[in-house]
Amino acid sequence: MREQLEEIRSRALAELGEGATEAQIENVRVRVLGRTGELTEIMRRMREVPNEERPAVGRLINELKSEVESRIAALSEELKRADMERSLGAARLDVTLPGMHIPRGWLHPVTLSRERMLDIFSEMGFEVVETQDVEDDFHNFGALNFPADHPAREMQDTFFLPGGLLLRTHTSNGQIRVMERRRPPLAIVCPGNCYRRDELSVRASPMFSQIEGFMVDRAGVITMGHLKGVLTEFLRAFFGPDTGVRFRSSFFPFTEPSAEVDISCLLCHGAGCRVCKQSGWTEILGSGMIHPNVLRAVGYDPTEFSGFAFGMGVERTSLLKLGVDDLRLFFENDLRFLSQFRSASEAAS
Amino acid sequence: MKLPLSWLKEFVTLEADIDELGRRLTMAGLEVEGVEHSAPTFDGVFIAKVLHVERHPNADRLNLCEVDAGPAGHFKVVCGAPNARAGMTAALAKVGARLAGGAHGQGTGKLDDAVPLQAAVIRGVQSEGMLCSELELGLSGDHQGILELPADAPAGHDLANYLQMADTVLDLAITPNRGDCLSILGLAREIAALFGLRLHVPRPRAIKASTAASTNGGASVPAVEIRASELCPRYAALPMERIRIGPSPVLIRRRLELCGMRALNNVVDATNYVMLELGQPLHAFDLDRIAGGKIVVRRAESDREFETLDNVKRALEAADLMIADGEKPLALAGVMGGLNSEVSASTTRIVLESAYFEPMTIARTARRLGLRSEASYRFERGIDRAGQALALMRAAELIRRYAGGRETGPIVDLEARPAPYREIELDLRAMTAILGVEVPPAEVRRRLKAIGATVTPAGRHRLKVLPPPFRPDVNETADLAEEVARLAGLAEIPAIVPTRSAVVNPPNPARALVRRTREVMLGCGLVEAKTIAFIAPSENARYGGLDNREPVRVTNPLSAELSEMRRSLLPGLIAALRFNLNREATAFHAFELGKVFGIRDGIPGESERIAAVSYGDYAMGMVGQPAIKAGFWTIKGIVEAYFRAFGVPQTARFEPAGTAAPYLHPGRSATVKLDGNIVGVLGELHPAEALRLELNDPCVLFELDSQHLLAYVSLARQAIKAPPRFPAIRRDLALVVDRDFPADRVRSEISAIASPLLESVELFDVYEGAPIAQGRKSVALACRYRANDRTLTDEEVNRAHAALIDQAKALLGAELRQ
Repeated sequence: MREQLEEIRSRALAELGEGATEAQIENVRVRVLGRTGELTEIMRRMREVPNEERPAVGRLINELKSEVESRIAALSEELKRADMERSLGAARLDVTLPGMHIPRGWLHPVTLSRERMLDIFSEMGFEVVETQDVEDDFHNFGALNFPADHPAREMQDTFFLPGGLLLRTHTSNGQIRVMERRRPPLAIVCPGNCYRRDELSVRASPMFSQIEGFMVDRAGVITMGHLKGVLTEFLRAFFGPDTGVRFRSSFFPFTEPSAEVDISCLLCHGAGCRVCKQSGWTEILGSGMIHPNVLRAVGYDPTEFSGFAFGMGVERTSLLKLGVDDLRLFFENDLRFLSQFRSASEAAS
Repeated sequence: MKLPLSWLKEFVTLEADIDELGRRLTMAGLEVEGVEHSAPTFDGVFIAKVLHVERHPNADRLNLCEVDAGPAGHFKVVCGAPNARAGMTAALAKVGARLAGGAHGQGTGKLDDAVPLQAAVIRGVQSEGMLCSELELGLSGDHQGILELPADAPAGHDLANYLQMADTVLDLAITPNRGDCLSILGLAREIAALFGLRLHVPRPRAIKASTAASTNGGASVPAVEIRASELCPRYAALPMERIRIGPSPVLIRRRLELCGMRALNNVVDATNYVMLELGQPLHAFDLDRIAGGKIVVRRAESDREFETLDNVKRALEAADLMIADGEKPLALAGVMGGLNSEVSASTTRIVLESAYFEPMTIARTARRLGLRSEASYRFERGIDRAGQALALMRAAELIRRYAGGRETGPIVDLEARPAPYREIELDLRAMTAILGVEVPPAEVRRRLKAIGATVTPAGRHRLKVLPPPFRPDVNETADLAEEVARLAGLAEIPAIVPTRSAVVNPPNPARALVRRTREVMLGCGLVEAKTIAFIAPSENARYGGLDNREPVRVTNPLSAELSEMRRSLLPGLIAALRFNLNREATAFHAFELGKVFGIRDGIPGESERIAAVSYGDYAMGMVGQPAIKAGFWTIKGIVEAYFRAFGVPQTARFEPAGTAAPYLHPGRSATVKLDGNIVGVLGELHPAEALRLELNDPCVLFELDSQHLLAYVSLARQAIKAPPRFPAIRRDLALVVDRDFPADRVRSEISAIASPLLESVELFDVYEGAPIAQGRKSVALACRYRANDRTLTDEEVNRAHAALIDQAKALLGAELRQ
């Protein structure tokens, strides 16, 4: 039996030499270690071995078994490594090909501008409140000190709806809607869509968006000086720290005193060019101290409370910032235009 | 409003240059929109008196004129003009003069291109110059005769200087509150205030006034009656006779034209000239065409129609304010005169009207009739409440001088309702509280006086301010604060950043919802679009929106195509898709957050929507591999991702939409339910609609009422659990059900079976085809069993799973797939 074991061993080890193929290895494994293999057969014949030799033979069998097993394991390992080595060469990728993903979308440029504006105001402590587009005459005009038939109403050509309603011509209705139900101190910005009877053109759109802002507190706490301070901060944050800002007297029915705010022309930086009509300045927003009649309309006593308000067109401001000169681009949704805001959109999120 | 500087000079002496003037006006609220320079169209032309006119010895049609050009001496000129006569004042072009006008001028229009006039011998007579027509001078197209200058034009003066041909005209944008600046005088006052200059107010010869309301019209003095004093508090009239209608002097005509008005005749021009100069619109009636010599200011009442002097018949409303005589209406008060009483070439007697009409009544009538005149423009904005008599005197002066007329009576000046007394008690501290800067009291007084207010001290920190009658916009402290700040161009107000408050703003769920919505949509590959809310009725009919409300129709739309408010965001997005496909794009995946509109409880209302359209390649495959195209599953995936972002995937349900949304494919569309409410639809565009839009690939879309998610913006406090310590055991289960039985219902019903060890049920396969019977399908589920306190044994799981299968079969009437 010992001889037999030695023979199995030498034959197996010989076959499990360097370069043995997977099939040869499997062949040896089945022949030697398999359920009906040589070692099983020998185990079955252990009865024939004299009692005193049995432990030694058993040990020999175990040794042989583990020797063959470890040899097979080592060889298999080697084969796998060789296989892997081969496949590394074969499965080389063309790393220049594009990867796979669902391309991420991006925001509309007007949204990007509006969000940036709202963020700046939020950082300054303003609260964002949205109000309705479908309005009544009182909240869009009457309470804002536009008397019926007053020529000031013609500054804004209005779309009328059934039921005596209209589409708001500005977001200034936000002032009324908020002040009607809240008491100062207030620091609010109201973004939203507005509507005016203008054909869609390079310069105008029947629908556009504005941001209205206002700050109200006890009389004397908020002055025209604060209006200048807040808007100057805002404009420099939005257009850049070197932006020139000037306030000039104007007229809006709902503010007194009123001021138009100009920034130094973004194209010529104040030198004078075609875009700014040689003035060096571009009109950017309207503002003023809230008219006492507006405060009265919401039930505030103008000797008790005062504040400022301002409003600006988001599309117009975006056009200026982007250096684009056609408002229609914002409403066409041409991917060749919109896709240019991909990085800006990523940077903003 | 146009402001010729030559005219301004009559009221104020300004040293500042034009840039500085423009800047100061702009900063003070009178925005300069343009500056035009006008250059003379001739030079070397002088004012000359014609002394003698005699027939040319050698020509019938020519005259030989001797003219006196003052210091330059006398000249002999050959002239063919029919109107040349001794005693007239004419324009003499001396040898060397340049004429840019037509006919005998160079016709170049530009002086630099004109060749100097040369001495000429005409039919044997030496001509030492030329008497010029308006055409030759480039003043107008008139070549009927030579230009006749007013008798008082100084002989020998350079004509270009006399006519102020080199001029600068500012174009100013006047805001609606500043009616007072719609005149040269008003602008001069403003400029005087800005630069601290003296204002020269014109002082025409005084004419007596009668304030008695005479009701008997005499032959030469009309009777005036105001029957609508609430609309016309003041009416003044002045009769004049011996009028000779003719053209106005060239200086008058030129100024009217510089200000954008047309010259007509010496009477009408005088009224317009005074309106431009003083801001008071005037009207001249032909007195002989006023029945009974009586002027009545009344409402139109029963008058139905009126023909204005532009030959248009105007429909009247009872409330329109009219000027009438005893029989008929003569003018639409403050808007336009009538054809029936117009000053004509044969007019010899006139009555001049100078009134104050209430702005609102004029605005209403003018707007309704779409008839805007220079007069209505001024009345609407509020004219000087006290300037009526002065304007009449000024106009009378011009008419006396240029039309030969004279007054036949006093000014009939009726003030049916006195102007309100508008004294303002100004607390200087309140003004400081508005402006944020303390302007010294003396400076406040100076500025307020400069705009025409009467200011008197009223104790410490207090002034009594009486605003001038031409400033109806100044009524309270805020208005005075504006005036004070404005005159310094707002520059003295410091920019102050308010002290930061430490208050944290309350959470804003609406904004959080919008932000998270956008973030999910971007992550799902959708680009943000913005479309316009106006829509064609046909589109609203196709896309009824989620609640199919009655559409909101715009009362005054821009066009039929934009006459309704959208009920759904989808048609706008689909139009954007089509727009891009027409421009090289092959795929389009976009979303929009916006408002839709509909009639709610009988009145127009609005709601927020999120919608998306997805078309073409959606997820890219490897190069050479097919891409995943947009389809039902990709769009549903986006909606699911959206709900997942709000933590609500479990309460969202998708049910076959059937024909609920007619623009969707009936078999590939779903209604989306959240907490039992229908919150939206999703699916593939109906093939008929795709065909109409020429879309080759499936177009998928969704529209949701995003407001339903507001409740989920702030997540409920969630109990966080440690991961299980014992393993789960999976048992699969395949049930055969009817083909149309929703797979998700199989899953949800089985999930709901009470089995204490069952942890989760997930769908992992749906199979149709052999060996499954026709019309049936197999739904394969993975059921996970777990206990919290031990590792389950196979026996325990088998028992639980067998019980589950029995219940599932009974519950669903399903059979187990073998």
